[in-house]
Amino acid sequence: MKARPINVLARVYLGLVLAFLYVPILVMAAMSFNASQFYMLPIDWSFDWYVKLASNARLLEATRNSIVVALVTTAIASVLGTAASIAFFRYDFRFKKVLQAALFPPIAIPWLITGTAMLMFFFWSGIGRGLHAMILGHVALALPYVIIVVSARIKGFDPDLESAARSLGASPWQVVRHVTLPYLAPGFIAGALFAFAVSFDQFVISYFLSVPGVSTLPVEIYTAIKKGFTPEINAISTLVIAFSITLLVIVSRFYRFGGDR
Amino acid sequence: MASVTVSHVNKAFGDFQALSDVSIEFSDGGFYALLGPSGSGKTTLLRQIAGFSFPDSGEILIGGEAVESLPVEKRNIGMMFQNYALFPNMSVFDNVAFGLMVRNTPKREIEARVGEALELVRLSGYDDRKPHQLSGGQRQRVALARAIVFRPRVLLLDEPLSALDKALRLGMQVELKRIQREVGITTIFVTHDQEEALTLSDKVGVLKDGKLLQEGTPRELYERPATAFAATFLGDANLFDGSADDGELALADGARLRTLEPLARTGPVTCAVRPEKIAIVAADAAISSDSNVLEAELEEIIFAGNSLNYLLRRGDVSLRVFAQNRAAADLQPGQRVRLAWRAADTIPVEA
Repeated sequence: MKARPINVLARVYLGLVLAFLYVPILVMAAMSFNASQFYMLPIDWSFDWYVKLASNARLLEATRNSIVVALVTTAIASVLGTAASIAFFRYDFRFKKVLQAALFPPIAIPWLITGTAMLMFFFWSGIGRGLHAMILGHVALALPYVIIVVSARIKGFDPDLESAARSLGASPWQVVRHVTLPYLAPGFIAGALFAFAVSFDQFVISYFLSVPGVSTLPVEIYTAIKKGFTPEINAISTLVIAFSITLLVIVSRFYRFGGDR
Repeated sequence: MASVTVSHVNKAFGDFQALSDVSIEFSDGGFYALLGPSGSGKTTLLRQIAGFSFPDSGEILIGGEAVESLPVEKRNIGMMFQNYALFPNMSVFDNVAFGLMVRNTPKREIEARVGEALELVRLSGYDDRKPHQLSGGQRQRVALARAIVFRPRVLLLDEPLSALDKALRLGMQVELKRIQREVGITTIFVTHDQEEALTLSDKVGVLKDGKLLQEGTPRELYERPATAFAATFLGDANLFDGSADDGELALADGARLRTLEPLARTGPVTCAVRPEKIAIVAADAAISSDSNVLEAELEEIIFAGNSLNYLLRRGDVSLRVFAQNRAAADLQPGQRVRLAWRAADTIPVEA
């Protein structure tokens, strides 16, 4: 079939979108394997920067902090968010609408402002700064995302499924385990991924709440770039991207996102 | 299997009295239809029997055991939901096996019993399908197999056929009845469809405004409705309002109708006559002595293929007559016709 002009345009458009999304990442990944510090071409393939990275204690420590903060944030935010979504779905209570509406502004308010507010509040209330403060801040940020994602899944849940399971003799726990949770799982996983991403990506709030010597990867990368760029940054970034992609592939193998059940 | 006894059950939701003093005996192995319009309390009653909701007062016995305070999962009932409520993430096999699985039945027995159940509903070989790969009728069979595979004491059906289109519904009615007979399980089903109630069940209870109006076999209910509501909700009926006079029904215009039995009471009386019991007869036809005869004006004839539906008017009362499409007289709207029916088909009812 001959391509119509509109089709060609659409393809070019798609190509451009993909290029702007992925070319920078590919360049960065390629350069992390280039022995030249000044991005000389052709690429002189080597693992030098990865070896150097392995002995960069600050960057590794920051990576470890990022992962710890993101995992703890994910655990807390996805459990709290899922519980909140179930409550919103199943129960009617006073101020439900107000509460639901109150979830959205934090997403719209610039992180810079939220971060400033948190910094002031944490300072004033004695919570202070550090990883624990970051976790608190990240949970607060991630919670609306989890609730929105999980609620979208729950909305399609037929409460008769739980009634049916009970009529078949299932105890309340068996109902949750065999009917409710398997149904919610894709939403829960997607919500958890969001929470992880919100926390792991978080720069502004982490920057405000970090103390010297205790920071996260984005903050550390920012500090390092200010001091002078080294391709070690490319190396750690490439590793992070590889990790993210692997995670996504694994998750999508188990759960098809979208309208399926 | 077991009988179910509901006695003096009351249930209110706030100010709304959903069930008032309902008592019904569901016999062991019987097929009982709870018939009523929406808001009549039939679904509320089913939910009390199932255990999804608990009566404010009164008793519910299953097999002689008081269950009114047991939650649904402890009552050992099978229930089929209006939308089937199949577990979307499970295969047909796992759906049917669910009731056995939660009872910790050994794996080999589960396989055997699920196989039997699927065979009973004629879905052998569909074990691995997911609900979304099945047609509406097949989903319903899975729901039925799932509800009976663990041999519950009672089977509860909530508007079981309403989600199917008409052709499929007729087929499923036959199937449902066959399966119920084969399994011999006490079955209670809720419906607002009078035809379904008549064809499927061996006993029907008519509910209205949270009260049991009348119960009986489909035939008894149809032939001898006790109230004007039962007469019109369960089939069609012509209602004649008049007053009792010397054992007969005297209409306002002076016409007199003889009834099933001479009227014992006095004062205003309403009688119901089924449209198919009335015949349009020729002016010179001989009328047997136990018949009622009335004149009316023919307003419209509706041709429905196998039958004809005559709409008539007598004063300010509109009447209907159904006739088989067999040697129907050549009648025109506007014509005055004679109607005749047996006195025994004139049933006094409570207004």
